[in-house]
Amino acid sequence: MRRLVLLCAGVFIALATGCDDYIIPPPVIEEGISYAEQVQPIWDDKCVSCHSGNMDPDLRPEESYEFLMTNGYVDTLNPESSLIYSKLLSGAHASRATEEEKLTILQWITEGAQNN
Amino acid sequence: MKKNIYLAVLLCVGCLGWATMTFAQEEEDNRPISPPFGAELLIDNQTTVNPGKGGFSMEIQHRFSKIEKIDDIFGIYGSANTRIGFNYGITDWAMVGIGTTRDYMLQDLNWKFRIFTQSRSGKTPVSLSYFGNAVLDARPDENFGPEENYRFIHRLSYLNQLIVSRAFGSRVSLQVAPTFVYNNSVPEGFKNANASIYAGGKFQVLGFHSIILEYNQPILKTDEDVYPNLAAGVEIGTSTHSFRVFVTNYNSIILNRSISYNQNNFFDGDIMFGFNITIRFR
Repeated sequence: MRRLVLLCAGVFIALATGCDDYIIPPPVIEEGISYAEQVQPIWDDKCVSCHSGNMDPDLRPEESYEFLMTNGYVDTLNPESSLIYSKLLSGAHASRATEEEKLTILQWITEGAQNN
Repeated sequence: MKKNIYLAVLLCVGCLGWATMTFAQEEEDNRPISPPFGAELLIDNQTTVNPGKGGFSMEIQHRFSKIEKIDDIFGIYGSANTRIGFNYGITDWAMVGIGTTRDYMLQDLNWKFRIFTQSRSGKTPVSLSYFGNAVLDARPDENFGPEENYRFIHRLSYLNQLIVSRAFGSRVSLQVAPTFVYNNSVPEGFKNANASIYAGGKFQVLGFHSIILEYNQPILKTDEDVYPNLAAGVEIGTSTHSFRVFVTNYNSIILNRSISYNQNNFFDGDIMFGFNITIRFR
């Protein structure tokens, strides 16, 4: 009987702590992404602690654009197939970048991956 | 997918069928059997095993990144996910645990109650446990949508699971577990409420060393593809430690995410190496 009471208490804790059914809407990304002002800050904030020359891709401010463009990380014909974008969708990387950051990078590639 | 559900149900029915056959045995030794699994965890799913009153254990769970190329030594140089957790036995049949996971900054509080245990005579043919958790996603607020809609509760998800296990002699143990997961917030394309059927097994092959398998089939349709979780490996057991090395197609570690979001298809080669270490302090 005591077990049953505790079991019910456990279920109660799980349910009583609160439920909601929120669907997070996808962020709206504006056109005209600037690499220097919108993409590089993402690398600076989330990536360069590891990707600072010791680990590919090199995402330091002075190196990142050149590295991404010459090592096959960006595919402007199929932006969603770009290696840099697909890396952001899987595994540990997916948990570090927000949806807005991922879509900003995708938009930058879609707009031709300019060094602007 | 239907085929997979049938397989899981068949395993469940087989388990109960065997239980009924042995129920008729004449000798009555109603003491509980030895623990059917080596630790509280099999690979990522809980077992019916509890640490016992005053028992304390530590879990280290590690997933390398996806096996893609030789350059990163099959995922070992890639970005990894790690969980560290602790379990404590309040009584012989009740356990509480806490843990923290690197990806998505997940903080979990979990509890497990053993409702009854398989007896040696077969009078109680299976063991039954209830496992539940509440998981907090501690990432910054901007990960939960527009600021005006943000509520703390959106960070939480819950899992409830009934685990039925059966030891077939001392070498083979199987378990099945209907599982329900509820996420208070999900991105578009996924569901708040998710359910799955889980099946797992241990096949002891040499001393305390076993082959271990897990399969978890989500049963509710989502707009985005969510693939079943499959893992296979070996367990190396000692009196105080349990080491498990395996390949798996899910790197979330926490089941709440694996069941709701796993987009790695085992049969497309989306697999990774992982290992678990459980250390018992009693």
